[in-house]
Amino acid sequence: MRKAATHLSKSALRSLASQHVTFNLSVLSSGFAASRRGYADEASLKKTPLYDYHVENGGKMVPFAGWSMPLQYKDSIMDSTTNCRENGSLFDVSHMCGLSLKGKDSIAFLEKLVVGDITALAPGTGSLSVFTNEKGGIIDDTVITKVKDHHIYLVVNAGCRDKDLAHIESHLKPFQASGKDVKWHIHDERSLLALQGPLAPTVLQHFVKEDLSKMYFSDFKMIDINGYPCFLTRTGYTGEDGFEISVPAENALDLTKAIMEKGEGKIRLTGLGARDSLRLEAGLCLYGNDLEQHITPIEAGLAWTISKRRRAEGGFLGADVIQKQIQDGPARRRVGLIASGAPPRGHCEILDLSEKVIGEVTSGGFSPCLKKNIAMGYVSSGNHKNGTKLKVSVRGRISDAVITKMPFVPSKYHKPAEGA
Amino acid sequence: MWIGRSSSDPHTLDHISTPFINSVVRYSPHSVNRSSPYRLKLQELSIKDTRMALRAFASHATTVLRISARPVFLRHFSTKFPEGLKYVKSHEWFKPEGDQGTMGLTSFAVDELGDVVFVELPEVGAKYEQGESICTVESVKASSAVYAPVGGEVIEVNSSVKESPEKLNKDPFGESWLVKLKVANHDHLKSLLSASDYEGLVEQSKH
Repeated sequence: MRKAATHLSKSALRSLASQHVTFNLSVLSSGFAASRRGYADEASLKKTPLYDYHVENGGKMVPFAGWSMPLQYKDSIMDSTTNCRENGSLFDVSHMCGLSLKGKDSIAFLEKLVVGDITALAPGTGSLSVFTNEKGGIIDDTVITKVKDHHIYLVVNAGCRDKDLAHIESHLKPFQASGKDVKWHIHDERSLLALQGPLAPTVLQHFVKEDLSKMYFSDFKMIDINGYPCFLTRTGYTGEDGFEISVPAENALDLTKAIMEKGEGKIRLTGLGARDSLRLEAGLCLYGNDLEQHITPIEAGLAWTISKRRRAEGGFLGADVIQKQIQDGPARRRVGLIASGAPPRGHCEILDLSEKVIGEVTSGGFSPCLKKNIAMGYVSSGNHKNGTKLKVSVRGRISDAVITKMPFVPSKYHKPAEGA
Repeated sequence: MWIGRSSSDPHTLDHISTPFINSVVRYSPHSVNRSSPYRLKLQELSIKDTRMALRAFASHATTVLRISARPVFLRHFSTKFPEGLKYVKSHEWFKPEGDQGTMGLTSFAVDELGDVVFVELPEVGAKYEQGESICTVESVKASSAVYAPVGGEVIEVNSSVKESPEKLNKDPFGESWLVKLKVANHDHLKSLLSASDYEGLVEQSKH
């Protein structure tokens, strides 16, 4: 009857090893004191322009992708998450990497590396896309915006920055050497903020002259916000209406304070903990969990990012693998799950009703808005239809789960009215 | 976007180092085995090591802060943690009741965890050794093992906490106890901390 760690199944032990699961409480508490440590590894973490502001406002700082970022503030993660959907949240996402490609061949260049149809993208709009490798696997996901025909703006994940930039550079150099016109610039002089939630447009409108109601989901503008020259995209990672604001780094703190003041306490500073809950509720993938080098966009349910023309023509790395999967169907697919019992976390096994292993959870947790356990994972094709009853194994205990359509919480993107 | 799938990824929370461990290593004459394949854990320090570390820290602190020379944790001051209970460095409390006792998580632990969303309790009749993982408490972001403060047999579990996990955040020392144990070895009680010792430990872990 003993439940010592050594008696747990191999998969449960793996679960214990993964990031989201099983902290000794001493670690959790000392992790939150990390900002006051005086050790070399903490000193080497990068800080955004808002670091001191986070600490002053009760931010619990944790290391993330080489940066010191706020996990949460005085609010619990549950309250932060529900507040974003009821009022609004301001996130410091300056750790993410923005870059621009400029030149008349920039679209042709980028289309070699991503699955997106950048040619067809209307100027002033953006879309989610992925960088692929030769096997059709995902190097990173990214939001790509066509500013104008000769200028593309992209945002990539902080944790993939070095990998992505090396990958782009390795292809850029020969492309330039063959006489093509494309240059790149990494926007380290800028900081990224995300303002999300129903109050986001009202609050942001105080700081811009243009009518934001005419700016729809995925639209992009170069615009002055509170007098600062910004890149504004109506997008986000929460499923709520909202914006991502690229502001000059030296103005980031002032803009944050101005937004928070106009937010009148309803817009709250929100950290990475709630950001993860929000994106999971919105059914959005997290690179490193739900997307990885060995997962193709077809397996990940991102076939919609590949237009008809690009499916036919290919021209991106791994196109042959992806084209075959589009034709034959992939062997496994990403699904959403709602489960009873303990919340399934990354690496938990997904089982069919006869308890045969058919897949693995890649992200999971308790949904503060739905008050249920939600998860994302991959299952073998054939078991992936919505409504399929399955089981999950969490730390050796098996509980019921059902495949559920995502997003778990309906999205509220600002789109033109039907027929408009 | 949050990255952190494998424990070998240097960017995950698994690699948060522990200032309390490090300060004890500095002050303690014994080296501490910090390797643990499956979880970062405050390693098994003897209470003597802990007290020596606290003493060293406290005397350093008193010199720097020019306050009373008496080490902080020996002074009588009101603690935030109930006096009638005993404590463990892994943030459990234990109330001896003759041959038996009740255990739970301290308010500090529960505050650090955040909103508790799931509690997994042991089965009645199960036997655990002192320091063995006896149950699991989960918040939105993390699940945490709870360790038996003393070795013993489970005689009762608090099913109201299992049904409403959020109760744990409200009254962790009272109504939201977790498990009642029949104590197997009364010597284990000697290794438990007093409220003021535990408070000292908690204060130090914040620095």
